[in-house]
Amino acid sequence: MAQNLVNALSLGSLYALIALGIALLFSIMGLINFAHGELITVGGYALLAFHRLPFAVAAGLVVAVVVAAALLMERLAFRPVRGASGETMLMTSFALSLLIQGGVLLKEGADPQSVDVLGGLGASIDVGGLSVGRLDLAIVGVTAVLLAGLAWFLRATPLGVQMRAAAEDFTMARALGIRADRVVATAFGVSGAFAAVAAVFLVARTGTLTPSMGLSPVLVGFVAIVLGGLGRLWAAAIGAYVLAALSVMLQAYLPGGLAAYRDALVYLGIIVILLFRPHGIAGRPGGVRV
Amino acid sequence: MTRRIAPGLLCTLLVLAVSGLALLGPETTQRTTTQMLVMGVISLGTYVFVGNSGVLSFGHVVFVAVGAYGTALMTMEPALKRALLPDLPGPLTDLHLGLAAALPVAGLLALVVSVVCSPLVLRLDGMAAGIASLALLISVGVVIGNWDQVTRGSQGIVGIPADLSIGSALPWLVAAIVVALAYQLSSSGFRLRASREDAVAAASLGIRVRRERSIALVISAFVCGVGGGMYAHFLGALTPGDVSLRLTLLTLLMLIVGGIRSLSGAVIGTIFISVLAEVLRRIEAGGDLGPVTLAPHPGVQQVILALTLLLTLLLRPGGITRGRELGWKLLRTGT
Repeated sequence: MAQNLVNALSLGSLYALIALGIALLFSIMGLINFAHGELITVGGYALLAFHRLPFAVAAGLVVAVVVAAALLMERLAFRPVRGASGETMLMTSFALSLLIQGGVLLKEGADPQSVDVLGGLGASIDVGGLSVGRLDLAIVGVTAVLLAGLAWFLRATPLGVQMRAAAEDFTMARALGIRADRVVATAFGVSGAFAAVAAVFLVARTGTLTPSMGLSPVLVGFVAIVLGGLGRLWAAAIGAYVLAALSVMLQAYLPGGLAAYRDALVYLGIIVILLFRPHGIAGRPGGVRV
Repeated sequence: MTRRIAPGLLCTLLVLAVSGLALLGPETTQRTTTQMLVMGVISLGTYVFVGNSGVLSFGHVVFVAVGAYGTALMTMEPALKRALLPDLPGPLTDLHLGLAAALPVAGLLALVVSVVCSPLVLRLDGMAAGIASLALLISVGVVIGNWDQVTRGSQGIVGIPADLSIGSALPWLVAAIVVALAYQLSSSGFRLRASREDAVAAASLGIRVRRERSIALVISAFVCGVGGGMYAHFLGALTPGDVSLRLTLLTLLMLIVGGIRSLSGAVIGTIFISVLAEVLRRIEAGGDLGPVTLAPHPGVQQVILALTLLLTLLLRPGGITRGRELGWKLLRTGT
């Protein structure tokens, strides 16, 4: 039981990093960024390229590369469709996702590659009879620091306050003189940084890279957001931890025959939640604007 | 009257012309064209709902999957079914239909599934509908990948008669065009398009948006199911990967590049993307292309297709047709 809890906490932190990166953009500009998964892919392959360097340097470079990719994405693809319908933005992100995936395929080939970034993180330590991986500790710790950092940024800095205002009502925020370009670019930058950290941890956990590795994390992120409540930042993080707990528990306690259907059950659960609470568990219903 | 059915006639002529040209070509071209005709049915099926209602759906490949697996199980040799799928219920094992008889049944199966799924579409719209249909697609994919008794799981079904040719696919595509046109000319089609333009205004005029949407959904699922059955007979083997997010994206790519708001857009997009994809596939495979020799480059096709979609969304959001239909006028100004 306690072992499951540790696993859920570690997995949930990873999910929360991914979900927050997506939720940030959704709350500000209504964008469901499918290409967020490809930011993780880019981060993974960047890690492969830099993995001979000292870990801290490599991790720094990965963050720089992914943030640059996220900013580039915003400038070239999402700025022109900003204000278009949600569907158009979603399809744009799909196109970007396919594009980046194809680019990685073109450059690196379809075969899975393995990279060992664990180093000392692979070891487990013993905490009161539980074996806790150092990696798990690192994931939980770093995520906690990043979440606290984001909370501080959103509360205490002018740019953060502007971002919260934009998330509340983008049109009104612009009318009050908030510079939309800067706010949106910052959001993409933060989202990219979160994706980069998630990529490092994800690759450290699995050790393998493929061009389509971004798909399942991004789906997990969506599910977490829906679970928590669309358009609410912290609800997304809560959703991520709930999803991880659910996923670990189902894995541990589902009878053998049903275990293979775990993901189907999780996604069906999402559909049911959406049907009864279209705005998520903690979401606020918004009226139709005429 | 001729003006109203002009898009259907012209699209049919266009498809006939492309197919006729392909019949003169080598076998690989014919096979690609058959695939194009199958994709035409699937994208028209998706268009009936997405195009008329304006609600984006990632879930239509679920109907394609139902049609594909359903047709495979109905048309395979019973002896082969006994060997591959020993746990299949007896009557289903003994069932042995021809393609023409199986396709309408496949459509009906998909229709039944769509009725079960309809609360999704009726209760949700916008982003929630998109995410929910994506979730549906993924959970159905997981089920297909694990339901060993019926789908043989990730190993997939082999030995489906791969007998689909241009000649046997063409009538079904023409039928799909007729169905799509008939729906969009019907009063339900008009009402649904009104709700696409402005859901609130349409509702205030007494249009029951949910009712019109469910009508479109049921028709669209039927056409997609038929398309799925054709797809199974085109491939000859089915694995869960054949009816996954990839196929969804390909369908949406065709619809958006062609112009998702018109029937002509669906047909033109299918033809355009099929031709482009085939050219890119050959470039990707490498080899001699007349004067130039190319090295194989896996990924080229995906990059160029993604760029096509991206540039369409950025520069010409309405697609090639910009939501207009083909008409006689185009022919007159064209000559």
